[in-house]
Amino acid sequence: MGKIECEKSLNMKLSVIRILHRFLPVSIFVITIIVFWRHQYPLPSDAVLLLWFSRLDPLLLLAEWRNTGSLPEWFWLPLILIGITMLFGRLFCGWICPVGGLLAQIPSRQHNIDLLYKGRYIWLALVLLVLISGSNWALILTPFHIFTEEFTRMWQGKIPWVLGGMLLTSTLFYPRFWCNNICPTGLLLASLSRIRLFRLFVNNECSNCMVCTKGCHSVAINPSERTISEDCMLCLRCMRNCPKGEIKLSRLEKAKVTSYEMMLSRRQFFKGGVVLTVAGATWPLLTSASSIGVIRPPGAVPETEFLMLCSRCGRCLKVCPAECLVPMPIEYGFTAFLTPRIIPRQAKCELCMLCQEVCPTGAINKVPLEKVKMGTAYLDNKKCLVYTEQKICLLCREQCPAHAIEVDDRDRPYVNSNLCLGCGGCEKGCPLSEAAIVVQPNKDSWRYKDEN
Amino acid sequence: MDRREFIKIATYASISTLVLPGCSSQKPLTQQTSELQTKQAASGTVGELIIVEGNEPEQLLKRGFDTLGGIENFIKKGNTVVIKANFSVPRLPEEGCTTNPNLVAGLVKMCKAAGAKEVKVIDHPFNNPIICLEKSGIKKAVTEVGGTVYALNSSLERYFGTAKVNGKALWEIDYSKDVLEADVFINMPILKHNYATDVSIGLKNLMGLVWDRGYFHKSDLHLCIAELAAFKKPNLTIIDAIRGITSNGPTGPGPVKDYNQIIFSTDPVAADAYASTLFGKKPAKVDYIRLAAELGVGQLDWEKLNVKRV
Repeated sequence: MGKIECEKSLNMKLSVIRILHRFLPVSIFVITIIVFWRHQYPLPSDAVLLLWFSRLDPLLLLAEWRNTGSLPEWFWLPLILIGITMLFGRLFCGWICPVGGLLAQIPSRQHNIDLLYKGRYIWLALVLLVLISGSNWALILTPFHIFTEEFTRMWQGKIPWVLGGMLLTSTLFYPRFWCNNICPTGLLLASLSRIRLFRLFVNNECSNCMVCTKGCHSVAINPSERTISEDCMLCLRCMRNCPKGEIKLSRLEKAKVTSYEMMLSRRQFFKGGVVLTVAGATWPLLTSASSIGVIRPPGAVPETEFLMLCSRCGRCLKVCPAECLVPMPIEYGFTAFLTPRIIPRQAKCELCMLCQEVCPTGAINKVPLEKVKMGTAYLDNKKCLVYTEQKICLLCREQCPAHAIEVDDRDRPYVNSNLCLGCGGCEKGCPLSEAAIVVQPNKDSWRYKDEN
Repeated sequence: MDRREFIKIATYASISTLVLPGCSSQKPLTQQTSELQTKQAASGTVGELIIVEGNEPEQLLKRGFDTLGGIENFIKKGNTVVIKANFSVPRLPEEGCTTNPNLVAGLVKMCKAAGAKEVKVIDHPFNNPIICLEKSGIKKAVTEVGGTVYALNSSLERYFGTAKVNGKALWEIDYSKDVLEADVFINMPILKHNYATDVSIGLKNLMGLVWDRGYFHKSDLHLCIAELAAFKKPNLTIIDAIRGITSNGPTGPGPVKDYNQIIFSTDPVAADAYASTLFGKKPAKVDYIRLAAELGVGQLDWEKLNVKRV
């Protein structure tokens, strides 16, 4: 077989890959949006796809493992991803990630911010530390979580600042700026990708024409040093673009591993140590969670734990058919920011429990209806029309799905707190301008019935 | 000014509007009632009350309409028909808290076959409308037979128009536009328990055509229901008494009872009166039925009607 034929077949393969790369990440982006959109009542069975997409992320596995102390049944999925990354590099970032699918549409530019780039593994270490210490706050930056959080914001008619910033920095600096500097999943995979077995190389015959660098979305190629960094996402644009065909995929020789800067230099290590110490000092700000007296979704774990576990992905807000779940504003402090709460007077919980189905972190547990206890209703006899004006109102009793409103021998309502779920139907239903019956959230320590 | 003071002043102000010329329009009511009365006077005959026994919804409907002389007596070609069903709570059909979906769909089908241009099935659920429409099975059943079905919750402007009732308890309300504009209005309630009024049947079902029901509970609930019925009488009432809850109403779930019948009547009061006896109540003891009869909406003593059991 002649050399020309060989090149021809390679070119064929490359153009197939090019078409694939044009459509696959975009399709995954579109599919994710569709599945996210289908997070509504009644929940279609394909909505579970988003949960499984999220489970690709090794960071979610880490969070789950730290939370439950055992490996979930889907542990093999992120492990496969880790394996693939150690073999081929950031295939996930380049081919599967929906955020990547979006950012891949941005025209290529090459402005790396050195300071950020050098500090990125320290940033990753910080994120990992937050995660391991128990706060799932960090997960909001991972692709599937930031994706749904931002689209929930858009769905609620708010401005998706992070998505906007992501697109802006990508346009100003380079398409994969977010992926290489901020995305913790991307950085984790990049760090694993440093030891990848199969990688792209720049051959020695390279004439330093720099055509390859212009097309690279990830600023991963350094032709003068003949290296392609761990940020390579295997789009193979450089292979297609190289006029001399000097970029090749090949197995890493053992000898090269040592010469390749595998480990952090001592200076980097030292710097990192200093930053982490400073971070440690500001620690309580990031991870401490104080209990806030609000009503949480049905099945939510106790308040302190809830604040730690919730990743603020916003999927419960999207799926709630009653739109009774609302994100908490920043006024309640950083630790509660964006976590879902219920304001019964605005909308009551319909107890459809779909929020439990879509929660990726276990902040909203799968708790059967019989055990749900979001709070307890308290009736103010001094306001209630039945007591003050002897009306036959009983709207609270009509509304209560738990039959927790009972009446005395004079047909006056009172709350049976054992039966009350705290859904807020009574508070919403009360016809007074200021409800005579109000749901109070439970004490911090318990959220389910039969506890305490 | 504190709240009590405000309410006092507001009450005086609203009472004064009754006296001041131009503030309240008495005319529409008189027209409405006189129209009703002339209609009744013109028909002159004794009303009919048809009790159809069984539990096959479509058959029950067919037998009922056959006894009434055919659905064509009610629905003319090109009519717009509005059916007020009850899907106000998120319960499954077998839980007996919402109108039987096959019954509703069966009626839609018959209306269509009789030449109705459009058949709308409506309610104003006091729970989440999406879940109610889905769980009650009414959305699926009605859509399948070509009817339109929707909840009135989403928009006051779109679904409600101001209506003058000019009663003692109700003056002016936001009432369903669909019903006001319909050629034929059929009330299709379910017989079930209700904490506030003991039993919920046809007249109580009409509350689902009003935007602000909190007001009913704040003022005189029974009188409001009666005056609402006097304001707009359905052309036909078909009560779903196949199965209904006997306690824990209206939301349920609760103990169910199979009555295995549906009730047809052009007299909404008589229909409710008979149904209340099924529930174990004396009609006169259910305040809103008695009050509606006193307002001339219909006959409290249902046995005076031409009763047929089929």
